[in-house]
Order: sequence, then C-alpha cells, then structure tokens
Amino acid sequence: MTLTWVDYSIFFVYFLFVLGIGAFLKSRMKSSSDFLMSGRSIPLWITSLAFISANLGAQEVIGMAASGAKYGIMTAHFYWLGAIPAMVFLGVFMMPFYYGSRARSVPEYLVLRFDEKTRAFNACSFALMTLVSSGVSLYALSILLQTLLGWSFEVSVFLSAGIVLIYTFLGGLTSAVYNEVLQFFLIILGIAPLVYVGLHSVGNWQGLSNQLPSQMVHTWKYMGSSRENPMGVNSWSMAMGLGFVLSFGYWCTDFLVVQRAMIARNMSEARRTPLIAAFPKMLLPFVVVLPGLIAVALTHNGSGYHLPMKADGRIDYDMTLPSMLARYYPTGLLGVGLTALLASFMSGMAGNVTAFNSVWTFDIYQAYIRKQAPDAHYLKVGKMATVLGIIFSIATAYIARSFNNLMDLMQLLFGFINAPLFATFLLGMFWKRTTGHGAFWGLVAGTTGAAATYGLTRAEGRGGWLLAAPVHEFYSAMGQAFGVAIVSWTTCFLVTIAISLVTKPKPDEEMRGLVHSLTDIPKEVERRWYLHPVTLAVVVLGGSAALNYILW
Amino acid sequence: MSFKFITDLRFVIGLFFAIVGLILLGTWMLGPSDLVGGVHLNLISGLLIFVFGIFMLVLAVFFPTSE
Repeated sequence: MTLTWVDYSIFFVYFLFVLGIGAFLKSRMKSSSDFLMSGRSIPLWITSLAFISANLGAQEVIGMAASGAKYGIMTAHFYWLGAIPAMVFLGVFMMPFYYGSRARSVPEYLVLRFDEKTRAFNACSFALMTLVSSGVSLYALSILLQTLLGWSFEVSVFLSAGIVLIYTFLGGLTSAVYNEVLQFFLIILGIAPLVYVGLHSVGNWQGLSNQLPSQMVHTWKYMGSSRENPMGVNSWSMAMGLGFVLSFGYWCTDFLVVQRAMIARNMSEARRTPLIAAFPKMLLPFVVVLPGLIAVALTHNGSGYHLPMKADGRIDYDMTLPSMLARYYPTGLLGVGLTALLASFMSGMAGNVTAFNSVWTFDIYQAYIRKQAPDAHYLKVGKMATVLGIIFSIATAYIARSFNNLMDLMQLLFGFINAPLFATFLLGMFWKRTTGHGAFWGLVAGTTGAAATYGLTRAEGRGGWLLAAPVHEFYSAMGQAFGVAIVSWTTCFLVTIAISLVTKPKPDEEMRGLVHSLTDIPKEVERRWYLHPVTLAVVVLGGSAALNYILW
Repeated sequence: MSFKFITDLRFVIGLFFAIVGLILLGTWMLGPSDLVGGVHLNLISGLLIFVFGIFMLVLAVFFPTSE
C-alpha cells in the first residue's frame, strides 16, 4: 500500500485535532472529579456517542469485518441480540441505581451495596482486564501499521501510545470522551464509502445474496443446529450465551462503557445515554460487518480481489478491511480510511486507560493505600495512573508480540470476569436478601466454574487442559466461549443465592438507593414523550427485532 | 459577537471535517483519477464530509448549548 503526502496530511490534521482537544481541556482539570469523572457535566449527545465509541475499538472495526467474512451476516447478532437488549436494560432498569447511588465507579457501587472484598475482587480483575485489553489493542494497531505502511513495530507502538498518553494525560476522561465522539464520526464517514462502492460492485444486496452461500446471508435460518452454520452455535446457545450472559455481562457491568453514562449531567440523561446510543449501534453492522461479506463475494465473482492470505496459506480474516481499503480507496480517501482505523484503535486504548485510572485511583489507591488525602493528591495519582496504564499497555503489547495466544487470553478474561458479574448485579440490585458474602463467593465460584469448563472442554484445539480427553468437544471456539459464559453465570447466580440465604444481609437503611425494592425511582423529568426512556426502549427494541426478521 | 462557540465540541468536529472535506475535494481536482466503479470517490466523499463539517459548524455557531 502506497500513501502520498495527501494521505499523510489527513493523518497530520487528525493528530493535530486530537492533541489540540487534550491541550484545550487541560485548564479545566482542577480536581480529581474533573479528571476522572468529567465533573459529571457532559451533555447527552456526547455521552451517547462516547458510549458506543468506547466499544468501537480494534476488535469492533477490524474484528467485525473479519467475522463478517468468516461467518456472514450472523455476525450482526453481536449487535441486534448481543448489545441492544442489554443497553436497553441498562438504561431502563440499572442506571437509576448506578447514577442514583452517586458511586464514582462500578466497583464503588459494589462496596456500597455489598462489602470491601467484593469491591476489591472486581476492581483488581477489571484493572487487569483493561490493561491487557489496552495492550492488545496497541499490539494490533502496531502490527497493522507495520503491515500496511512498513513502519517498525517500535515506532508504531511508541507513536500511538504517545499520542493517547498526551491527550488523556492533559484532558483526562473528558478528552478521551470528546475524542471518542470525533473518532465515531471519522470511523463512520471513513468506512461508509467502502460499503457503498463495494455493494455497487457486487450488484447491491440482491447481487451479494446471490453470490454468497445461503448460510452467510441469514441471521437465524440455519441456527437450528450447531452443524448447520459457519459459527458453530445453535439458537439456544446464541440466545443464552451471547444474548443474555455475555451481552448483559459486558454492557451492564463493564465500567469502561458504564462510565460514559455515569458522567452525564443528570439521572434522566444518564438513563437515556445507552438508549440513544442503541440507535447508531443498531445500524453499525451495515458499516463494519458488510465489508466482510462483500470481500467474500468479490473473491468468488472474478473481480480480481482476493481475501488476504497468511504465510501458512490460511485466510487472514483480520486483514479483510485494510485490504478492501487498499483495493478501492484512491489517495486522499485512503488517508481518511486509514485514519479511521487508527482512530478506532486509539479510541479503544484511551477508553481502557481512562477506566483503569478511575478504578485504580478510587477503588484501589483511595480505598486501600491512602484513604484520607487532599483532592489534589488524588488528581496527581489519577494522572500518574494514566502514565502507568500506558506503560503497562506498551509492556503488554511487547508480551503479545512474543506470545501469539494473548488475544485468546483476553477473550477468556472477558468470559471469566464479566459473565459472573452480571449475576452479582442482577441479584444485588433486585433482591435485597443478597449479602456481601454471597456476592463475593458467587463471583469466586463463577470465575472458577468458567476456568473449569474451559479446562474440561475443547474447541478448535483450545481448552481441555484439565484432562487428557475433554468431556465435551464444541463445534467452534465461539460455541465454547458461550458455554463457558453460561456455566460461569449460572454458578455465580446459584452460589450467590445459596450463601446469601445462610448469611446476614445489610439493614434496609444501608441499602436505600441501591436496591430496587428499597428505592423510589425518581420521576422522569423529560416531558417530550418521544424522548422518554420507555419510548426510546420500545422503538429501538422494535427496530432491532425488525432487522432480525428481515434478515431471518 | 461572542466567540464562545469555539469551545463547543460541535465546532471542533465541524472544523475537522470541513478541512478533511476540502483536502478530498482538492485531491479530486488536482490529484490522480479517483474513479472507482464509475464513482468519483474523492469528489462524492469530500462533498459529503465537507457538508457534514459545515452542518456541525452551523449548529455550534447558531444553536449554542449550555455546555
């Protein structure tokens, strides 16, 4: 791929704006709340776009196009089933407790509702997960720059990390959030022309459908059995594993995304943040998944384009989107497309680093290392945590370079940590009998259950390390991931209930504002019916159901 | 006239996309052919991006918010 000075000038303008936003916001960072929580002053449209943009990182943009090429339109399940219902649940049912409790983070909600050990468990596992995720994002970005532009690994790592460090260090969470919004528009406007010209080349949706195997253009039709579809999962596993456990575990409890709603100006806007975000989220498959399907059709129809291959002769699905950009984009637009990819990596990395610095400062440092200190001290700690987060990310990127299974480890971490956590929150928010001991041991049991399931089963050569012969062989790694999540959630749910029933709950007075039955949910202040949370929820769920039906 | 709008995120986003749109339009006029599948990609994308940028600038300048 050859870039010209025009493409580089677009890179340059983008970096200038990203750094400029950080520099401009520096003067506003006067307290730890400003730096780590944006002073809870961010308008609704910004929190909504930041909410989906924090998730619009490398795995989303590159990964979903890769999945589109590998599995077809079934990949859209990660949106219409694996995101929208959970975002609605967060906005309608859970946000009143997150926001109403005035907790500064998800782990802090756990200490208010349960106890210190439950908070510590979640804070430490979340901090580890964000650092691994940020490092893997940096590694993937550097490999991309190395492959596409011939930049050395070191230059790519330090340049990307340096830019993210500067704007998050100067402007804190607000800078990350503002840049996420800029990055959101850039990703959409940078990749949408590829979809347009790609669809045009294959004869629009009808032509695309005719050129692909039927399994690739239907979302549910071939889900009766795991053997019938390229994803290797059946409809029950998809609905329970992705649609319930993993989806709700991620969107409703992962501080990286929940944080974007918690910095809204008031409760009403906090509730509407995930609901408004659900509208663009619903349409994202047409931008990030469709290029993968188009790439497969172009490979089969004699257009001259071929899916990229690895050195060992296997298809390199992760390079599908970059190879499509190289194939179709002229100089100029190529710069925009590549800048959009850069933006997605940076957005993911900055999101992780800003979530890490909040959890480190509020839930680890202030909770266990130095409890009483002036606010200026915590501001300084938050800034230092930003620097340390970037340094750890760089170290993780180098580790990822040496061990090719770190990406698998990251996927496992998500399943091990997020899946049981949703059971903890579900019980904690909606059953006042749940105790701190129940929550803690439920989480430990859920995580152990996830590790045991992974160790006893195998798929695509992964897992099964506990026994010489695995007790079950899944058709695909994805099916295994869903299975691990289901076992993990169920174990946590049952163990939490069992231990809660034999331990003493907190007095009701200490749980007001934290548990549904003890909290008066504030009346919705939004008077326009079409912006009411319930209206938004119904419309977005209806839209999502309609898309599932159309592409059944 | 108050220039408070320059601190509005919509202004920053608008300015960025207006500049990028102009670069693409300039590339269409002066650069190599951008014809892909019968579509002038730099021209069409440049126009769309430029219009989006101007739209955001107009919102920031003429419809200020409390932020």
